[in-house]
Amino acid sequence: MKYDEIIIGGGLSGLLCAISLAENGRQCLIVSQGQSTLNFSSGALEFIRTKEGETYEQAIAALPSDHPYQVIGSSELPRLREEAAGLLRRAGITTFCENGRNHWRITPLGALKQAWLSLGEMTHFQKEDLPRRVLVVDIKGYLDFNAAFIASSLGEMGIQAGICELSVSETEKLRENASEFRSANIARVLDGYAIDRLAEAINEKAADADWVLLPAVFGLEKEEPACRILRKIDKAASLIPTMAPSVPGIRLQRMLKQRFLSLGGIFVGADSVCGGDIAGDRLQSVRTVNHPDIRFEADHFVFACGSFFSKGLMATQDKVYEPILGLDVRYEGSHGDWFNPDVYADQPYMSFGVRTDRTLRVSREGKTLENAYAVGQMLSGASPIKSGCTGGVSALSAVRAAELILNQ
Amino acid sequence: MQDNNFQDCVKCTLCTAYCPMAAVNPFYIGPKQAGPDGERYRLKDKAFYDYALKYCLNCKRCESACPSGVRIGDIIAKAKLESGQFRPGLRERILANTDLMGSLAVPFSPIVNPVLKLDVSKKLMDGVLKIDHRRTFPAYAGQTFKRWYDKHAKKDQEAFAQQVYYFHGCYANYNYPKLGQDLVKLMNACGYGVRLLEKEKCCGVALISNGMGAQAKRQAKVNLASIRKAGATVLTTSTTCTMTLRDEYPHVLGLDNADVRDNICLALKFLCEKVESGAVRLAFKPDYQKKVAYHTSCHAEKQGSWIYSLRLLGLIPGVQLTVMESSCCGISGTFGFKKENYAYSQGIGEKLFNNIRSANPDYVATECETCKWQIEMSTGFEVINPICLLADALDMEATRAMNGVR
Ligand SMILES: Cc1cc2nc3c(=O)[nH]c(=O)nc-3n(C[C@H](O)[C@H](O)[C@H](O)COP(=O)(O)OP(=O)(O)OC[C@H]3O[C@@H](n4cnc5c(N)ncnc54)[C@H](O)[C@@H]3O)c2cc1C
Ligand code: SF4
Ligand code: SF4
Repeated sequence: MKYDEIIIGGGLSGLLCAISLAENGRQCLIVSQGQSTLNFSSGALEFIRTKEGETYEQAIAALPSDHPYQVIGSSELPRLREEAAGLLRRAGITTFCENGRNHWRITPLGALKQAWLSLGEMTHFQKEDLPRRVLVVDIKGYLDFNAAFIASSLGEMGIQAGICELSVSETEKLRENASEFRSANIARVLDGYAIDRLAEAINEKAADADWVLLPAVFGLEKEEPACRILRKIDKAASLIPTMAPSVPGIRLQRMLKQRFLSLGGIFVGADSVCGGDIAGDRLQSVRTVNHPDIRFEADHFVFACGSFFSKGLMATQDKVYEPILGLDVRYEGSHGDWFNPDVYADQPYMSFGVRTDRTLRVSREGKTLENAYAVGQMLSGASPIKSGCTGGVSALSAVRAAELILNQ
Repeated sequence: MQDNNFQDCVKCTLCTAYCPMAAVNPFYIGPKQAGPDGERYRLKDKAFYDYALKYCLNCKRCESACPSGVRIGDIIAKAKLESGQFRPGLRERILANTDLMGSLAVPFSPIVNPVLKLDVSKKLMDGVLKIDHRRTFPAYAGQTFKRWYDKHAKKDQEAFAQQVYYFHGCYANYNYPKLGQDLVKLMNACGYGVRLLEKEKCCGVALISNGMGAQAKRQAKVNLASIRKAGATVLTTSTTCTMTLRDEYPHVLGLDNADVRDNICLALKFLCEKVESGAVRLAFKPDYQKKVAYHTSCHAEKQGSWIYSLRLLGLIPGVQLTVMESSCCGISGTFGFKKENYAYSQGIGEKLFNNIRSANPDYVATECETCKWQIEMSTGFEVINPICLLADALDMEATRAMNGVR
C-alpha cells in the first residue's frame, strides 16, 4: 500500500509532523503502537530553560553541538516555534505563549517551572505578576492532587495560600464507584451543571483570594468544560496538572488526532512497525505486526517513536538500539554509566538517541537513508532535565522534518 | 503463542481512561484492576474480582491504548473462563449457542421472526430470560447460506482457475445469507472460485464471553482441523470471527494455530491486496451514488483491518465517504441483549449514534454484524457490510470481463 508519507509514532512529534504534511495536501499514514507520553504531559511545552535575563538565543548558544536545536540550526528556531504554535491553533487548541520568552507555571508539586507554550486553562504568568493571595481547591477524596503540598510550596515563596476541599454530588457518587477515583473518571462527570455548582461552592470560599487554583480534571474530550469552570469562578482562576493520567494531555492527543483525521489522514492506532526494506540509500517500505504480509510504501518515512518509555529506543545490559531497523544510535559506556544516582540530576541515558544529519535524516551502518527522518524524543543529544527542552524538541523537530520533506 | 504479560503494566491507568465500559458503568472496576492488577491477586485466588469481569466487552480498546503492550483484554477473557465462578444460565446458553439456535430457527423463520417481534414474546423473554424487551432480534433467514450455496453456487466453483475457501460464520449463514452470496458473486467476478470448509462451527466468540470455554475449545478444534485440511486461503467477512480464529484461539483458548493463522484472512484485505497489486480489476456502475458513513468496529480497530475497507470504498467513484470517529457501539455480541446491560450498552453507543445522525448517510458501512443490529436498532440507519456495498456498486459484467472470467 502506497502513501506519500508514513509516520511511525502518533505522539506529539508524529502528529505535528503529519498534520503539517497533510495541511499541504499529502496523503499520510500514522502507525502507532499505543498511547503516547502526551497523555502524561503537564499541558505545557518547554522550549528551553533560560536564566534570569537570558534570551532564548543565549540559552541555545550554550547547548552542546549535538543538541537537536543545534543540529537543526538556531536561526531556524523562531520560525519553527511560530509554525508549531500555528499548527496547534489550527487544531482548535487554545494556547498561551509569549513572543521570544518563557512564562512560568506551577507543577503538581507546587514548584515553579518555565514553559514556552501552555494550554490556555493552565497556570501561566510572569513571576512579578504572581498574585499574593491564592486559594488552592481540592476535590474531596482525590489522591492525585495535593493541595496542601502546593499551598505550602507557594507559602515558602511568600504567597498567602489557603486550601479548601470541595465536592459535588457527581464526584461523591463517583467516589463510591468500583473503579478508581482518577483524573479521567472525574473529568467525565464534571460537565455542565456539575461545573456550575462546583463554581458556586468555590465562589463562596474564595472571597479573600485573588487567584483560584484547581486540579486539571476538566474537559477530557473538548475544551469547553475547562473554559466553563474558569469562566464561572468570579476570581482569576487556573488549572494545575495532576498526577497521571493528564486530562489536558489526553485532550491534546485527541484534538491533534481529530485534526489529522479531518485533513484526510489515516491513523492506525493499535499496531507496531516491526521492520522495513532498504534498497540502496532509500527506505522502500515498512512492515507492521498486524499486517506482516503488506508492504507499506511511501516517498518519505518519519520515525517519531519516542524514547525508552515508548519503546522507540531499547537497551540491553551493554547496548542501546533502535528496534525497528537498527538505525545508528548515539550512547556512551555501558549500563553502569547510564544512570546518575541522584534522581533529580540529568541522567546520561536521556541524551541517548538516534543520530541524524543536519536535515534530520537517519543512518544505518554509517550510511544515510535519503528519505527517512527522525524527530521528537528519539533524537540524540537532548538533555531534558538539564536544559528543559522536551516538548520543544518534539514539536520543532517535527515541523522541521515536514518542512524539509515538502521542500524536496 | 504468547505468554501472559501482566507484569509489563506500569500502572498508568490509561487503559481505564480509554475503556468505554468504565466510562458509563459505576460497577466496573476498569481494565487495569480487572486485568493486570487482578492477575496478581488471581495467582492466589482464581475468583478475585470475578464479579466485575462480566462487564468487560472484550472490545480491546484498552489494549490499543496501553503504552506497554499489556494484553489486558486477553487477560480478562482468560480469567473469565478460568475462574469457574461464571456459570452460564439458560439465557447464556441460548444467546451463545448461535449454531444450535440458528439451525432450529431457520426452518421455521416465517413463524419465528414475527414471534420474536411480538410484544408478548419480548415481554416473556424479558421476564423469564432477562433478555431486554427493547432489543430487536436479528431476523432469521428463510434458507441458510450453506443451503443456498449447495443448491445454486457449488457446482460452478470448480471452473475457476484460482480457489479460495470461505468461513461464513453464523450471521451470514442464519441471519443474512446475502452477505455470503455477495461474497461468492464478487469473488467469482474477480476470477476466484469459492469453496466451503469441510466442517464449520461457530467461531465460539459468544461461548467465550459467556463462560463456556470447554464448548468453545471443541468448536475451535473442529474449525482448525477444517482450515488445516483446506490448506489454502480461508476468507472471512466478519471482523469478530476473524479475530477469534486468528488471535483468541491461541491467546484465550490456548490452541496453537501458528501453522494456519496467516491463511485466515478478511475477504476485504484479500481483495484490497489483489486490486492494489493489479492482479484483480474492478469496474463500477457509472450511476452508483451513495453517501456512506464508515464505522470502525472495535475488532477492526484492534486488527487494523479497517484500512482495507477504506481503500476499497474509496475506489467507488460515486461513494461519498465519511469516517466516523472510532468508538464502541456498545452491543458487544450478546452483552447488550441482557436486560441488566441494556442501559450501559446504549450509553456507550450514544456518541457513535450522534455522529451517525449528523452524518446522515444512505448507509453505515461496517464489517461487524452485531454493530449492525445495534446501530440499526438505535439510529434507524441501514448498516451494510462493505462487501455488500462493493457488490452493489460493481458492474459485475464488466468486472468479469476485465478479469478474464467467461
Ligand atoms: C511521564 C512523562 C511526562 C512528560 N511531561 C511533559 C511535559 O509536561 N511537558 C513537556 O514538554 N514534555 C513532557 N514529557 C516529554 C514528552 O516526551 C514530550 O513532550 C513529547 O510529548 C514527546 O513526544 P514524541 O512524539 O517525541 O514521543 P512519544 O510521546 O514517546 O510518542 C512516541 C509514539 O511512538 C509510538 N511507537 C514507538 N515505537 C513504535 C513502533 N515500532 N511502531 C509504531 N509506533 C511506535 C509509541 O507508541 C508512541 O505513541 C513527558 C514525558 C513523560 C514520559
Ligand atoms: S494502560 Fe497498560 S501499563 Fe497502563 S495501567 Fe493499563 S495495563 Fe498498565
Ligand atoms: S476490553 Fe473493552 S470493555 Fe474490556 S476492559 Fe478493555 S476497554 Fe474495557
